[in-house]
Amino acid sequence: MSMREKLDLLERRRAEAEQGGGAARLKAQHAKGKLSARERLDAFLDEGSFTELDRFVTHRSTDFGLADQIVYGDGVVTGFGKVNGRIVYVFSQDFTVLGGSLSETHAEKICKIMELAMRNGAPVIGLNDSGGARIQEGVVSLGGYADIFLRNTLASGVVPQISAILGPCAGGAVYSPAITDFTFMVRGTSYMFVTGPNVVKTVTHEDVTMEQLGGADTHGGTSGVSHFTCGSELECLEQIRTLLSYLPSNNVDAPPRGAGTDPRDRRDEALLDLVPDNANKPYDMHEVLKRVIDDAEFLEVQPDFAANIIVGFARLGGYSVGIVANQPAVLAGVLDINASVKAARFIRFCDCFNIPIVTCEDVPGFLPGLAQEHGGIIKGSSPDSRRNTVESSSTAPSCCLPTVKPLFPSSR
Amino acid sequence: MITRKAYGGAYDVMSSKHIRGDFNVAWPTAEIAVMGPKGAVEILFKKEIAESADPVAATEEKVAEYSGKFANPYVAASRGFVDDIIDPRDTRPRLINALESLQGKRDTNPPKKHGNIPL
Repeated sequence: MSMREKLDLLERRRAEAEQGGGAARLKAQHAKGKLSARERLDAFLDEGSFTELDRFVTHRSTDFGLADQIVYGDGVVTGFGKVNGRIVYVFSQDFTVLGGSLSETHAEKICKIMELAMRNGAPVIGLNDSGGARIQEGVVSLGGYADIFLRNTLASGVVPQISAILGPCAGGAVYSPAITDFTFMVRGTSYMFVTGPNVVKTVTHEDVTMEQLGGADTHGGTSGVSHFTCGSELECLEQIRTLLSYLPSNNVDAPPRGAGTDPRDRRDEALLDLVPDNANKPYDMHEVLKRVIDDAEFLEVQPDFAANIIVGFARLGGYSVGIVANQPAVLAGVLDINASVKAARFIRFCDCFNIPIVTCEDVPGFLPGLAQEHGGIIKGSSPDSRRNTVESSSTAPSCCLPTVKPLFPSSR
Repeated sequence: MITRKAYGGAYDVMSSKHIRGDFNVAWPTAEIAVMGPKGAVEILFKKEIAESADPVAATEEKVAEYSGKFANPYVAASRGFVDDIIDPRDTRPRLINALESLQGKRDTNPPKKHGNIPL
């Protein structure tokens, strides 16, 4: 075979790999309002920046007819690319190939880019669209998941790890995203659950819909599993890019500086009238934040979960900061278990990556009541516990801005 | 030490070899699998069962077949996911042996302040 013929063969195989599960399945994917694995990467990364790895990897299984279902890439597209000029490692699961199910080799591909990311100090972004373990492979598939969990844990606090849930992800497919730093979901197409509605029905006899059990609003508002709820896949991918703009690539580098065009000596007269003179009257802390931070740009994390506390990213004088603020407009800004957990994990993330914390305080105390005490608010948020332990052990810079005099809590 | 069921993600997180378990053994009664035989069969043979004349009998037949093949510790052992399959009566001495062998254990993690475990 001549060089040209061999090159033709290579091109044919490359093209075949890009077909994924084939035209019919791709059409079905589009019909659900979902993009393909490769379309997502194109939309997410800087144009033309993607370098694919392991395009020709195939699984090695023969049980249950798998020998006849060999597809290049084995259901996941992996590699590296750039976001706003900075290197990131990515994997994008392909639901058109065996439902995006995770096999031994599929897992090996993901592990490879996670290790490269840790070694080279760059974030890992996972675009998840997988029904779970490839059951036909049995324990080998399970081992693949655990290999990923281990790397998630090792990478935690070393490089940022971000997960987008872009399909019905069940079982093993959700444990890894849950231990990454931030999880994004898309309303109407994203689902996360450890066991789906059918298993729930069998075991507990509860009738639940996918949406109730693990939809984007459930995890964004009720469980707090997800951090960002988006209206579409494109919005989701764009928002991940925005989040990355606030983060350093690893736990040694500094976050990128913003443009810093908002004058650092800007004073705002409106700040004199935002806090009502009557201490029982609520106000929206967002208004205070917007007038203080650069260009009123605030990326709020978990806006619909425990809204009595506000956490998110902003810039001050071009420097990336994490904001933690009580919200007097919701439950008078009281601290309850959920608010404490939400703030504590956010502070912990910022501390991992040396992002300074600015705390805006207007808090009447901790929420009294049976539910809170039975839920363990003492360990959840008392002065000796979770929120406090995390904050006390944080070594990133922090400053506190009380907008109203804080009163020390529960005794009142 | 796996005495009976080790299914799915729960198998992974209970000190499996993959997440740096040092010494993993199974009793002969262990079932190390993605899920219980019935659940697995209902997914793997969904079409076959639905199309069969007697779905209940077909399910039972497949469950028996699947159980024989996968509801055991030998598939995991063939991969080295467990170090050995042991006589339950030997459990205590085997554990003591293992702990003794680990007295000099050294392992490292990447340099970091701390991880970001969900709270």
